[in-house]
Amino acid sequence: MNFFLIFSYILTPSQFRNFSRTISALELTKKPQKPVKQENALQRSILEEVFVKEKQKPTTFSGKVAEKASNTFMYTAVAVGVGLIGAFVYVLAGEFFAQDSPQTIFNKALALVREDGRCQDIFGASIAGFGEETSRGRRRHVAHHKYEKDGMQRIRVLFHVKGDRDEGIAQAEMEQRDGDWQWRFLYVENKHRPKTTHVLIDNR
Amino acid sequence: MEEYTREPCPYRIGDDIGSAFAMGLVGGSIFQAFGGYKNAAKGKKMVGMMREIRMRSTLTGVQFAAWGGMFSTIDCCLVAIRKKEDPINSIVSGGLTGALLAIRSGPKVMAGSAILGSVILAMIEGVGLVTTRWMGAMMDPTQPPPEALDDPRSLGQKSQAEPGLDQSRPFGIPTGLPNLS
Repeated sequence: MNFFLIFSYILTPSQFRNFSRTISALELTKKPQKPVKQENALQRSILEEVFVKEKQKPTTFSGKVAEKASNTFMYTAVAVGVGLIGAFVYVLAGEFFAQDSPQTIFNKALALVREDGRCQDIFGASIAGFGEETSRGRRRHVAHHKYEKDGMQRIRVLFHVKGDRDEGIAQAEMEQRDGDWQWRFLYVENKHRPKTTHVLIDNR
Repeated sequence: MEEYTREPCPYRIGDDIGSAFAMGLVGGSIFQAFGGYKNAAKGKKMVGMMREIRMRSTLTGVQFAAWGGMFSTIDCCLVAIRKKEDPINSIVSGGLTGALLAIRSGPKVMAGSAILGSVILAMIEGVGLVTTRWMGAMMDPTQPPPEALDDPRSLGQKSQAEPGLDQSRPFGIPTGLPNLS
């Protein structure tokens, strides 16, 4: 269109009319050949055509070396990142599934408390277990204390239990004997009267 | 002991929506300020920045609030169903939140955002766990080892039986006690 505008200043009206007729005739003859439509799936959209620019391959030796170096650096960075995430996951899995982690002890102790008939009598049929409450209403953190006594590693875990009838506190302790973690005791105390202490395991 | 009188769960959802909205608002303001400054016309940097913040940061806040509210709701549901509070709850609810908020984008996007959500929540939980576990030791390496605890008084006198001898019963429960298994 710019083409037309420029010429309209130079040419007289009749000349312009003639000229435009020839131009439009030329364009008409050109029109029918449409761009060949690509059938493959990796077609690029118009936005991609505009914004995504392939970087040119370096032709000089120093350019090639620089590209290789930067590629190597990137790969190393990715490898280090993957390694870090792996280490993190490993540590986390250890924390979760280790025999002496408070979480595992809490899980096992809660399962024992739920199965126990006397506990069901005290607290009600379905017993919920949770840890210490934070200011944000989360009760995920289970109170625990790890210590050493008489040359034995011990861990004591305290958590709260609550049923339909009553609520209370359960305390459990595990001790490492011959490299194996074993129960030392597990008992529950309820909060309402009559206050009772029910010992599930006493292995001292 | 007063803090255990009220269950945190249904009320926690409102708290979470509010705090997530505040977080999104502040973070979105900071984030949008950069874009607004960059894209504004030359003499109108400040005005453009402010307008961008006013228009966009509330949207970010609302998105955060949606995430937080959904997350907290699912977390509370899981607590009610499983009757147990542990990190698995929050990981699962992070994944479900990601999936449910992307439900209009189709199953592929849902799966992706579910994985992303659960991974992020697992990271948060993991960082929390690790910091609570190791922070004390890192803060003061010269502190004495944790003190040994006495046995709780409500357990009574120490039983005379040697520990770990009675293998016929589960967990070596002494015969003096009523059979509980």
